[in-house]
Amino acid sequence: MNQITKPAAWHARARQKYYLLSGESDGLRAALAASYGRLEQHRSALLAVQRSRAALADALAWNDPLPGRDAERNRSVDRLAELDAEIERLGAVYSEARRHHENIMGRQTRLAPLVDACARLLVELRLLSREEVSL
Amino acid sequence: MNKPSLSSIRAEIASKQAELAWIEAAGGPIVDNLLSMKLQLDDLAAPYRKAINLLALQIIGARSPCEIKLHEVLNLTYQPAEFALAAAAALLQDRIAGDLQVEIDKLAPSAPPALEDEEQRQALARLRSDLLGLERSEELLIVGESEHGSTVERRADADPRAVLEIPDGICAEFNL
Repeated sequence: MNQITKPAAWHARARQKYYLLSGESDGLRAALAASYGRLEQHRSALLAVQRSRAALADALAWNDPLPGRDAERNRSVDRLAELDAEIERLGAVYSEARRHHENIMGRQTRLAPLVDACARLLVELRLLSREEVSL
Repeated sequence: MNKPSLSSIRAEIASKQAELAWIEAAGGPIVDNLLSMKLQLDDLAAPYRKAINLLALQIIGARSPCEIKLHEVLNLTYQPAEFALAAAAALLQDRIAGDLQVEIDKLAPSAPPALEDEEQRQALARLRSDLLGLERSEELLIVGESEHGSTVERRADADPRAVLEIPDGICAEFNL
């Protein structure tokens, strides 16, 4: 009787640890997809505000103030300041989201080869089949 | 006795990995390699020595100087480069060996130690076994941490035998 047919405590333990690691890797992959989605959302929002700000700044630069329209112009200047603050806020949000995304990506990049190596070993020890570990 | 910390075990692992790479890169005994080089240089010089021998025979046996065919004997018409190379190998053999020795003396101190095959095999086996032992200790600490609710990232190059807690000797049974 060899190791294939004689179940031992370490068989179950090895499989259990593989499933834990594999699950962690799957979780990171899902988190990566979600964080990528958020990152894109933040980027689009930032671009939209930057475009609005550029359009408003152009309008202010090219249109001479009309007599009696000072209040309107002042509102535009205030709006410009609000957009600057929003750009700063969105920029910070985007940077944090990117750091978070890169952190997850780094963890996944480090974990994936280890999960693959564990899967290959379990297949070679015939504790799991190639299909079961999706190699 | 204090339990070693994860960082100290990881430092030991890194140092053991570096030692392993160092021993893996070790060459064989320099004397043997030099001897092989000398034999190859002799092989390279052989056409020159043969040509000189033929030329000497022709000179001894010639009834008239016109019978001496240098180009023919040295095969200079068809293989001048080969003759030149063979001549250089024969005539500069000592010089080449001397230059090589100087270069070897310069480089050898910063290279891994020369090891016989068996010595290298034993050293590698010992280092790999030590490394696996360290990685098993590392994995125990990681599992211990996770049981206390902390997540510790594993190294990407962690040994799967340690991570999966495969007992010693099992992989050898499977020729892995």
